[in-house]
Amino acid sequence: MNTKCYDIGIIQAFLDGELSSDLAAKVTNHIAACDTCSLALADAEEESAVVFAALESEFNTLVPTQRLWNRINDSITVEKQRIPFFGKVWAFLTANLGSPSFAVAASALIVFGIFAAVWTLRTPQQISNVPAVAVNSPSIANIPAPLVNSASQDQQSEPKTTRTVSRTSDTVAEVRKNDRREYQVVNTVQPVTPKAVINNAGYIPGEESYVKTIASLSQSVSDQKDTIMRPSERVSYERDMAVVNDSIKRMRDEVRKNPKNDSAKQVLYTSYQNKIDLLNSVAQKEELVASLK
Amino acid sequence: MINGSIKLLSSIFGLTLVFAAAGSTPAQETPKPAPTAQPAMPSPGKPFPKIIPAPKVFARVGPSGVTEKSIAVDGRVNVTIPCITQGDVKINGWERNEVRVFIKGGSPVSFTVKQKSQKSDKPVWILLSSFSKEGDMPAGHSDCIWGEEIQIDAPIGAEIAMKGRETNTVVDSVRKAMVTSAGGDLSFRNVTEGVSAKTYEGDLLVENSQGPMNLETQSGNIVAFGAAPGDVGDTFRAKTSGGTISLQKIEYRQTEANSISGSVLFNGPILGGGSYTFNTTNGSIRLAVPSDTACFVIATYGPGGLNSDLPLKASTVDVSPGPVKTIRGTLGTGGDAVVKLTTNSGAILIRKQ
Repeated sequence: MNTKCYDIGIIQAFLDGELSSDLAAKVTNHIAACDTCSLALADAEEESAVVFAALESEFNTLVPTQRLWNRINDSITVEKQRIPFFGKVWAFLTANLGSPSFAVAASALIVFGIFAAVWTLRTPQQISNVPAVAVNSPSIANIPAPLVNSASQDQQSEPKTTRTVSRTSDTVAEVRKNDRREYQVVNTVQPVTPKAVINNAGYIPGEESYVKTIASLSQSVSDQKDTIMRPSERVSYERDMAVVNDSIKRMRDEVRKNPKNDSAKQVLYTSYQNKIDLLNSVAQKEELVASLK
Repeated sequence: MINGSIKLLSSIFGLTLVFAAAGSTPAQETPKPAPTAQPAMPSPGKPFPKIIPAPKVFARVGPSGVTEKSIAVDGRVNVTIPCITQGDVKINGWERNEVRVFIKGGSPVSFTVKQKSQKSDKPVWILLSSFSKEGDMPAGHSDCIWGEEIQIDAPIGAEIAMKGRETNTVVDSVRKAMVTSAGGDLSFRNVTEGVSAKTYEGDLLVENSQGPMNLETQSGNIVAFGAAPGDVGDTFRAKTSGGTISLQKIEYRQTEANSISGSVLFNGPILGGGSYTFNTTNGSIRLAVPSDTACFVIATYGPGGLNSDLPLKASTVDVSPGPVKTIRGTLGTGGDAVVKLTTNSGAILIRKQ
């Protein structure tokens, strides 16, 4: 009939419903009269059937919804915000250093900053005799703390950083002045918070809870000792506390050296418990005395 | 002549004495002070022929600050003394169903009945205080009892619960005692169903008593002599921070003694199936046990070393250089009793009795 057959692309487009309505009507009329094109359409339908069967699972998946796109966009925004500060600065600089004026201004600022830093570091040496400087004093650990401040003594046995600065350049008067000042510093030393201890030392299993408990008890008991204990009782308490602290220190060192020494671990835990009991006794006595008024 | 002069002088001297005596004599004679009321103190050891019913409440206040009161109670009464501020306290058990309080040179005392027995309608729980009602208490006064000498007699079946501030306390021949003191020595004898005692500064003594024992002092010694469980499973626990613990003839299968800067002494048998734990941080541990003792020993010690008169067959020895050494082994045939001895810097000594 119509000798002009359509190519396979037109037939495939017809099959997919992608042709315009006029062309689709023409193709329909032609295929109805042309055996060749109808065979070509039949082949194309078979191929499509095979392809759709193979890709059925893919076609059945849900297409991304608007909500999903919103979430993806939000995630991208968050990721952008998580870019490190220096990464942002680097991106900013690479984007702006192309401008010569900006490059000159940045260079001047850097030079000024270096100059200011050098000047600032030189200043303490020149004014080291100013009495308000508490850093220029001996280590806290080298000075016997007053008896009344056993909280700080208790804390000294705990792992913490100490300040050690040479005092060779000080005069005798300055040293005395600094010693007095250091006593004041000792009296106002805040107990080491458990968090600080945790960050500065590694614990053996089970040790951390003891240290935390002791730190919190030491804080609460430090004020009560002076009011609740008589001098003789206080002396006994401080002696026992020193014994326990010494035991803890020795056993902790031993366990650090030899983590498999179970006996040392056991003694360490017992010593911790003794320390907790000692601290608890102060609070318990205060409670008892308060109930007897 | 001479005789007449002497007679005259004698008569003048006699008349002078008579007038002088007449001038110094008051118009009315001052009554003599009443004798101090002496409490009737039956000795706790002597049994009475029969239980004498006591008056409901008997009270007497002596002229020199002596207070005495008594109340009829049930034989297993709980006597609670919530507060004694100071004084030497003696609590004695007697065979009367009566609680009697005697205070010399101190506060008044009153009884508050907290609970009565449904059977006998007698108090089974009484409370001792200065004033029974808040309205009776003058402003600024405390409800606490105090005195130079405080004596309390209670039935031998009584349970005593007391809190004191500065009190030296002796408890004798009662069923059970629970005493806490902020300062002062505590002593217990002939307590049949257990002692729970704590003092923050003072010594603790327990003698010839039974039942669970929980003894604690902060800065004092603990001495226990002749204590045994009243029931199966009763435990003995002694703890001091700055004192020595001395245990003799202790017959508990669960025994624990813990000191920080004092020594621990144990003299008695190691019972089969028992668990004995003796710890000290800065003192020695001395055991005196029968020569036929059989037990498993875990000894942890420091520079003080371990010394045993009895053959100790070591099964595990860890005496490597370091602050802690451990020996596990058996005394005698071993047995199923376990003795744990731990001292950081003292010695461990095991001796024959």
